[in-house]
Amino acid sequence: MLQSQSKSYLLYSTVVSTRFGSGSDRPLRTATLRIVGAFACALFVSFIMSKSIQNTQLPTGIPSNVLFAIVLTVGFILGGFTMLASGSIQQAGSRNVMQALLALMPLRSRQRWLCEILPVMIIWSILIVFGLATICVISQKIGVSRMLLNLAWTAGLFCGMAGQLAHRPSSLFIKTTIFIGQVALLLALFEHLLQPSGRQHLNLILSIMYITIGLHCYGVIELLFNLTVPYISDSNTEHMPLIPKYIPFYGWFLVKLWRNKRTRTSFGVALLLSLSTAVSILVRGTTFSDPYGMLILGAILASMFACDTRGTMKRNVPPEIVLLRGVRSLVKNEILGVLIYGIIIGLPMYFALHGNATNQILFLMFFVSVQAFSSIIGLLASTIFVPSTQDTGAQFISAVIASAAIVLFPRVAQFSRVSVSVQVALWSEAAAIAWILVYFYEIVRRKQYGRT
Amino acid sequence: MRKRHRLLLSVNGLRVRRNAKFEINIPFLVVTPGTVTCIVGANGSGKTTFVESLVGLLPPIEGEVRINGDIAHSDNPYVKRAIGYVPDDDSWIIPELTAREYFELLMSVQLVSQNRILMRRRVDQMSQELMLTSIDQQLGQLSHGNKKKVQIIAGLLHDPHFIIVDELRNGLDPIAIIRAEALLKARMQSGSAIIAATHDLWWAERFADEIVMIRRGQIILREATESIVSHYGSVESRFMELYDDAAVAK
Repeated sequence: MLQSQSKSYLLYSTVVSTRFGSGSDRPLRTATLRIVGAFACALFVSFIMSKSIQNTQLPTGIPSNVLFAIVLTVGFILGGFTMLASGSIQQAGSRNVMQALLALMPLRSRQRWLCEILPVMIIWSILIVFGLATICVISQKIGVSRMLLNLAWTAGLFCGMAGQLAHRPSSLFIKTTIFIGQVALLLALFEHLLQPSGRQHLNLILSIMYITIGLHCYGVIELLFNLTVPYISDSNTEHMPLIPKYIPFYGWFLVKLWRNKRTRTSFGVALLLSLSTAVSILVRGTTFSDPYGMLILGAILASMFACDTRGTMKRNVPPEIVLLRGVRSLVKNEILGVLIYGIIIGLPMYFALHGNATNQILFLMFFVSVQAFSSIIGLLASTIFVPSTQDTGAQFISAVIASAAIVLFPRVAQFSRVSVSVQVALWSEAAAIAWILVYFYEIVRRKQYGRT
Repeated sequence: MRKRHRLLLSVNGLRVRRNAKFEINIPFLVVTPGTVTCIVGANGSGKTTFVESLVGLLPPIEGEVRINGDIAHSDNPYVKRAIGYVPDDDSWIIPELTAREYFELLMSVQLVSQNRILMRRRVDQMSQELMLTSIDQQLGQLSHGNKKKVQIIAGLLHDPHFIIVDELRNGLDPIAIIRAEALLKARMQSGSAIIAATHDLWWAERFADEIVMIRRGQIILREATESIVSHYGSVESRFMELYDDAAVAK
């Protein structure tokens, strides 16, 4: 296979294979397929979103520099959010084998830097594609340069992602807190900008926004000068919460997800993001005409958490299959676990939005059904890809697929034409189908084990 | 293979912290070419921590490890090329690649030879010597012993000046152990220095020119194997004596 390939090709293709094609017998091919699939998925979602924007009335007369700042901020938030969501998987590994092996190789600093940044660049490109069609439609409708807005989108995503690459601060919790603080500052500045008094300080406000976002670029620079830091983490000890004396039969996965550092971190990050969004809604006193649609944000966070769960077990024959008496019980256990954690993640959004709903019981049912769907679809993506620790690419792709399913399902099922009670039924049915798919996928995987 | 002279691995005032509770202190150690140094100690005494700091994986908080005059914990390609590392942990591989792909990747980055036919021949020869048959199988699917063989070949492939081995015998069958030892001895005779961490005292006595005994991250003995055997009968009896003394003192 490697007859006439250069040193760089071998090195970088190995990095891509390990980050995007793990668990496959043809990793480079699988990685390529997954990346192409993610690009296609991003393009499809972008196309659907651009279609709906085409039918929306957009405000006109916004100065191009303000529009630039808006798109830059949205890109920044999405980029940072994506990296934080996949950051939990990186934090969990006390020992990064690929990094350690690279550390032992006689590579130049530039090559080490590229090995580290290459998977992130791929994710960055996918996210750029995700916004491409939407931005083109917006620029066409408002009459602002397409190039300018695409530049803002690309730069915003880059800055959001770059900050999370830095080795310092090493704690994901601190990184998340800093990011939330930055987002809060940007939103506050925006609010000020929209008021008549804010227009007087337009340049000052925009400058502060650019600096806040631009400061995040330090992550890439820090990485360039600080490559030797995280080959092996400072500590390889982990303090696990104790197993309680009594666990109900279907409660094992709840305990397992809490005991596992990776899922605990993922849960913490998702809850923190959901909580900060809810607090922001409550503090601003924002009212929403469609509170049901806003619940989708909590659902996406729950699905991102669920994407991490299957990787806590062995890919083919997890010991839980025996301990929990078969695949059916294992899947039930998994689903109960992700459901409860998923609902906890979405709860802050529910409490922040329930005041906007006219029918409280229907709103609660909608919340439960959408959280159930998102958690189980996340689990399904996780069951298919089984992203292991340090497997950023596979985790990102499973998160993209789960999020795309959550965003696209209301459009495919034409939610705009049906009542909320029918929407609840549709979410629940879709969740049940995803449940069955998880079950069958586990059955097929188990039967295939050892036959390759 | 060429003879090497004036090559040196030196440790000066090294202090490495593994975690909040454990660190090692190695005031001074020099390893010269053509010798085998065995680092022995009980479980958790700091052998692997020491070995990982020698190859530059664990950064020191104080002191330094120098390899041929250059600092080990740096991105210097000459230092990396001078070291061959065989870890104890069998997860230190790239499970997605086949053994052959892994070796080709290593050889291409180590710039052993630009001639791919020669490179392939070298891989095949070493695989035959260690009886590694599943060379075209994905590393993740190999048995523990075969993974160890892959790690040994990967460590020796680029003909390094310093071969650092952590628990060589773990997972290998008796014939593979003999062949791996023969490979290492051949490298030693051609001028490489071998540093092997082990808890197997009998093997250390048979294999090493010098014994470095570690207890709780500190060197408690550094002596030629011959001298230990002539004074105390065996490395094992000296080890038990020193560990008992330490226990009494405590």
